[in-house]
Amino acid sequence: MSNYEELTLDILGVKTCVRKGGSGPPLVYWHGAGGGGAWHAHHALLAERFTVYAPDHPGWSDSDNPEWMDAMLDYALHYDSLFRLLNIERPTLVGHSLGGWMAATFAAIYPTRLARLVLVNAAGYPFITEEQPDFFAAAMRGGKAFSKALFHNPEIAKTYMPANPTPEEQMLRFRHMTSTARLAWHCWFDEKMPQRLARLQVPTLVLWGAHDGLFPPILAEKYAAAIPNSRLVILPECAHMVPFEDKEALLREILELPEAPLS
Amino acid sequence: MKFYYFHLMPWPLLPEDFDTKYDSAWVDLPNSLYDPERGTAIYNEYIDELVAAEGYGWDGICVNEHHQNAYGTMPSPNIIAAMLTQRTTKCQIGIIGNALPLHADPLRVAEEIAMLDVISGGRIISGFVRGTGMEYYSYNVNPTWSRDRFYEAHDLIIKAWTEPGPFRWAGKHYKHHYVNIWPRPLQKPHPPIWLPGTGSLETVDYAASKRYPFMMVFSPVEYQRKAYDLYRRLAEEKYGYEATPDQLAFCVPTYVAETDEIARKEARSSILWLFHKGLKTGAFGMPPGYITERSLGAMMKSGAKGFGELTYEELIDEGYIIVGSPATVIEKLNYYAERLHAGVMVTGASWGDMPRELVAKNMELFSTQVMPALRGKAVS
Repeated sequence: MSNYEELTLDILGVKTCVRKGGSGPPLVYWHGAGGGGAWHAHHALLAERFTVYAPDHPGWSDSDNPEWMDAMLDYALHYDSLFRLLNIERPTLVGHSLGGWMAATFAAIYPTRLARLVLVNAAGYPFITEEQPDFFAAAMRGGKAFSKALFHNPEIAKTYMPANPTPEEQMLRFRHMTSTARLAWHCWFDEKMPQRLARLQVPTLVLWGAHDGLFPPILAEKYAAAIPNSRLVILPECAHMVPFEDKEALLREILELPEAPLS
Repeated sequence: MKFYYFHLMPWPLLPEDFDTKYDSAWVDLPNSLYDPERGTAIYNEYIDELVAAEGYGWDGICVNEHHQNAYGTMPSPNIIAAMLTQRTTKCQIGIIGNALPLHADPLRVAEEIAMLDVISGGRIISGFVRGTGMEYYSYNVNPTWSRDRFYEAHDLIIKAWTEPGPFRWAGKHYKHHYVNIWPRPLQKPHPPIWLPGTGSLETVDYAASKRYPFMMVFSPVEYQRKAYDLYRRLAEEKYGYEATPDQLAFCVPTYVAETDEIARKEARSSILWLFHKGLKTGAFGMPPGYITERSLGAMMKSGAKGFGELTYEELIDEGYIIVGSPATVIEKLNYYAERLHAGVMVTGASWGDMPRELVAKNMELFSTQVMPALRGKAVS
């Protein structure tokens, strides 16, 4: 695994941990509801072509847990401050799941700040189907059904979902779920997302696992249709956890995407 | 000791295959299992039972709020309380309580309790609760707001009851240009507030700080002792007063029969209905953020069993419930009076799917054989 460093930043009083590695143009990776806290294999792979910044969102892992941050706008503004502090300019922004919702929000607020936008099995689009489970109940219930919603290959699932979590792991999971609930308990989307997405100018990749049991691929189609300059890629052997299931596809499809022209 | 007769109004007619077919009696238990045709008689029997308790000399009768479940079919306890104001004359009527954070606007609670207080001639006890974890799923209210909304709703209601209106309110969760409730409550400064709970440090501290009676619900007697000790210590050391027995309440299901053996035999299936069916909550019991990380840590450390894991014998031995002859029940209640300094008992006679004849017997024996023995007893 490639080298990386851990930065601890004070963003207007909110301590934020960022893992940074690699070289090349900047790429920011925003994790999903269960993420953060590690330099994963997909970070390392992306770092072969990019300077990767992988922050722990406030409320997750090694960052502070500010209870007042309870809206996507709070996170978008937080990361605007972080980008300016680290002089991150025109990054490729990759958001997975909850982080994808965050990234779509950021791109709508700052339509000219990004080189590329990559939405991976992203939450945020206002559409629900009857077969979608209630995420929080499904996560609390756990077991095979939840594991299958996340991972297409059960062997990969075993690696990332410990069967007998320690009390410390349970506490951390409770914190992550609580931070997720602050943003997504009522619903996993913004009603006005389609109108906001119409503002996007950045080339956008909508990358999705065909077997996503939390956010079915119909949402990928909706996202792609609502974003002016988008490309839709569905991966037939993946579910919700694409960065963990097929990191090579993630890198390959990002590199296929042109950068936004300098404005 | 004072005695309050409490009813949950469960839906008792769960199917034979409930245990194997359904994960929960809450949230997603199909409401096709509710039969309105039979509901008419069941509701009215329950209401008659509460009214009968006044005749047996109970100090008060109590109802509470639950949503989308078979455990307690009173989504609006204030409606039942309104009926009780018309069918009773002397006893207090406790709503224990309204689940404040579940409601879009606490002013509605302030208004309804004020109405009931005026109509009843000042007989209302107003319990405030957060609602169970399950109800945050049922009402889709964010559980991470639960405490915050509870405290703000409480403050708004108390101010609406006690300070002249109109006034403005600009809280985090509620904003009003005109708080000016009509009617105002009859009792001064306002109807008594009770706080039911399970003994978390946060809730006990809050109750002690406000001098509100704290009611432990369905918990081992050892947990009740710890919660009362904490309340008394906080009252004395942190808030500078001595807690009285009126501030320490316990909600414990009770069944009385001629002998211990008969009582244990007769109560068994209905008590297990309550703990194993009615309180079966599946994945919905503990939504994220509903409790603090500190409470979660304490819970994990205590290793307490879930209701569904407790045997009937454990429920009795650990004091979740009291079952026995009048002498046995009196002895256990003496322990509350003498050792726990708790002076308010909230119980009832109807548990789970208990047959009506056993409910009637339980109520009569408790009222005539147990209550008098503790009535005059000064709780130390």
